[in-house]
Amino acid sequence: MYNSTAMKFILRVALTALLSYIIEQWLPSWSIMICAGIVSMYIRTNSATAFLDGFVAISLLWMSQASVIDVRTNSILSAKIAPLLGFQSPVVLILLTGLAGGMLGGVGGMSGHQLYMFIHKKEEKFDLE
Amino acid sequence: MKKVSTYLLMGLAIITTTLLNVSIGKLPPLGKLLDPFQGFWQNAEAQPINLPPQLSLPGLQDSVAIYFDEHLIPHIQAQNDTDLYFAQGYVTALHRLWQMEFQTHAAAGRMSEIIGPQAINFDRLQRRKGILYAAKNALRQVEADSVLWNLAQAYTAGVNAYITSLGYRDLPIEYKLLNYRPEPWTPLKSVLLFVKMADQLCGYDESFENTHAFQCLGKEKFNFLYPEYFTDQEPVIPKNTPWNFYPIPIKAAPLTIPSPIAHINLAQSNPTNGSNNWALAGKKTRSGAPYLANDPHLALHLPAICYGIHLQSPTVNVAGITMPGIPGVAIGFNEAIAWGMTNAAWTVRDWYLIDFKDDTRAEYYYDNLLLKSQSIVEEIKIKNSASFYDTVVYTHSGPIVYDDSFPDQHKRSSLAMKWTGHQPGNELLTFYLLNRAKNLRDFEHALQHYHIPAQNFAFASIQNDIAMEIAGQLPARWKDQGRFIMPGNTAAYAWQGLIPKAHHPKNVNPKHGYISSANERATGKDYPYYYLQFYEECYRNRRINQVLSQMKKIDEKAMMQLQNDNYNLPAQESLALLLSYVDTTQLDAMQQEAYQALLDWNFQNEVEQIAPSIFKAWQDQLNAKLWESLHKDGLPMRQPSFYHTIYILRHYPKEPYLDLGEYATLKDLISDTFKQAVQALASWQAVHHKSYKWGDYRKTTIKHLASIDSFGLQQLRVNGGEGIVNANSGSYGAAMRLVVSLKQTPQGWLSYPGGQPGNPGNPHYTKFVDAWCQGQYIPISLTKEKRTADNGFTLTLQP
Repeated sequence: MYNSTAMKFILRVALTALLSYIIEQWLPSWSIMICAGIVSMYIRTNSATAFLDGFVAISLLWMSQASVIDVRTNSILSAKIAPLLGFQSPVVLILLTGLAGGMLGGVGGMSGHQLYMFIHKKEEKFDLE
Repeated sequence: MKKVSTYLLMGLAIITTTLLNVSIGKLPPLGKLLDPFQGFWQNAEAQPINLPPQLSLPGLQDSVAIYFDEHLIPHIQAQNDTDLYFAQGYVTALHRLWQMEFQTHAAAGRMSEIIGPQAINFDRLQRRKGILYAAKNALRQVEADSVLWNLAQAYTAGVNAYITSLGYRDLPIEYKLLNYRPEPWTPLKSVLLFVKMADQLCGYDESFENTHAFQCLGKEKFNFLYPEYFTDQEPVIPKNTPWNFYPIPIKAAPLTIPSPIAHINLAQSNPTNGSNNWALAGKKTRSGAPYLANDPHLALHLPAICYGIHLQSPTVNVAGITMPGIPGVAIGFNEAIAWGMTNAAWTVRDWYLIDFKDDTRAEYYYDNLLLKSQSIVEEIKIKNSASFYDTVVYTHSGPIVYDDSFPDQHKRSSLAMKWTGHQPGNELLTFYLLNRAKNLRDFEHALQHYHIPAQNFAFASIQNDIAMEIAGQLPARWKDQGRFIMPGNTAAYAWQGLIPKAHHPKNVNPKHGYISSANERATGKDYPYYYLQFYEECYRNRRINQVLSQMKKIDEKAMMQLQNDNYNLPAQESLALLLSYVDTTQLDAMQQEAYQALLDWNFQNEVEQIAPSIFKAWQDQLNAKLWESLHKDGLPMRQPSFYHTIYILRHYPKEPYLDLGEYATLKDLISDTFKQAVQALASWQAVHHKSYKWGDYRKTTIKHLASIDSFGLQQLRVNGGEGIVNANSGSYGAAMRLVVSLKQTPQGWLSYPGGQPGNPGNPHYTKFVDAWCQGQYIPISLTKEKRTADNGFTLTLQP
């Protein structure tokens, strides 16, 4: 049981991240919500986990992509954008990027789950573990 | 439980929508901005150049080779002119698209569309000044000339080829931050940029200030404070240069000066938007070949005002700097000649009081006629808001700029602005011809088409000719015409004509082997026409002439040194006099130290010295105290220049026109200003926790065009100052420095405070700034010798 949950988690996160990475080469940020939603519909868990996995997937994806760019370019631009948001550190900017992406991924995932529930007219126990 | 989940879902939906769509304050939707695949992260560049070796662009006739050297200056080689200007448009857009568009929108009064309602007054002023009207007039000239029209359209096509290739991801960062997209480029937008520059350089006059001063001070005091000629001046065209012509006759009208116009906070371009240029004949140089040097002074910003470029086709081989958005090379050199400009600072703008028949402003009185005006409704679009509509009334004397509704709601007379800028010539043709000029005659021929702004053109050629000629439309005035606001209801005060081009001040191949200009008076008193200058430099010109007359065997290093000369001539000429007024027995320790520092000073405005700061602080206090009474009514008034202030102190210290305020004697006033200066410096030191070295006390800032602070540079330590050849003051300075040697194949050296790419995420964004601060230059060459794959990159454009 334990393994299965963990496996599902890794699978969902990896799949969401991979799918989003591919789609985002062409489409803007809303597309990741769809990716997260699709994964949620096919590898089902509950609402909270759908949100969490989507959040983790995209925030990790975005933070790693941002970090790669940041390291490659010596923080040339992040150091200039951070002050516009009220702080100095590029690291905080990367975290903020993760947060923003995570919110989109999380909401996408949860929406996918809710949509599935709606289509299959199941009532859910709102089980916050 | 259901309720919680519903509210939670709603909350999350709101957050998501906000991330994707909602601008918070000045920031665009954060989800879009922070997206590492599409947002600002994509604008960060690891390498200065990130292009494929080949690009296919429909619109080209043949292939074009563009070699980007190690400084990212593009050397464009095309097989015909159409492709050449197409490529120039493409490459300039590649590096500076956002700047080009932002600046052309500023010219057209469309800032509110991009940055919101805080720009409304700025936009209204642009519309009322008739900038777009002038640009349309200029465009008509371009359209009428098939060669130029072809060139303008090719450039436009090149810019648009770049714009259409941009998805959201590729947009310059400022578009992402300000949340808008670029529009297609048009030839009108190129011309607008030129008119904007003309407005910056000759959209200044002193009619208001003079009118107020005359009415408040009376005629004698006015003439005392603001003489038209200074005795020790060295004009651009040296005194005693013979004028071999009879002037066209002008009929004077009686001088009538209206009452002061209150409540107008004038927004004028900076009168010290000036520059230096000079040329030397071969006999003064080590190589025997002439030199030309030019450093235009403007408000500094990032991306930089200029862009380095080299254009080559079967008809032309020219290098130098361009203004992004305008085709051709603006200041530079080709295989035979070099040219550069400084602002002649001639007043080519006058104001007329219009006497409307009634509040509809449909008709106005003009001698015994009733003339019809024309009303244009200008729509000013505002970001995220309803448009603002402004009605601009045009008379034959120009558009009404100030009236009951502008700059604010206040009862006032209607003032029309007459400006040579409204009727541009074919300046694009001038630059086209200069780019291809082979000798002095070609140079003079090119200047025939130049109307605005009035500039001192310096010239040097490989045939060893040097020349200085004032180009532009110069109104022929009667004495004092245009000095004050004039009645607009009679032809007596209208401009009667222009000074014929053959009568323009000029100086060709003078015996002493050099020509120079630095915004000083154009001529001595003997010039047969009366004219006004809104600015007259009194120091930089004399320092330049002082150095040039003494130099022999000059080489490019000497030229560069002179452009970066930090000698404070104002201080050298005035310090002894000023210090003589200070009673050293009455000074405390700090003041003694400052006094001694001034005595020990070598008059160099260098960043590590403290004396320049003491002198500047004293100048500020002196100007404020001596001329305090001029400002007591709150009307815009001119202050006498520092040069004239010292002249008055030296020759008329007991003059009753010197208002000493609460001081008993002049000595008391000057002593006190010295002490106040030291006090101000001490306060500065207390706040900043470091000594007031010149480099720290007078910091240079280079602002970003859209005032995004982190994209600009603060805290630059720069030598030089006002009245000094290396004329840097705060946020104004040498926008570019060019030195050209006119050997058999001319060679240039360039410096400017910025970098070729306008992308703050590019490693070269501020590449040249340090060199510019240090007075160092990069070479710019017409030949291919040093081009290798190692220090450059070749991009080939294919049709």
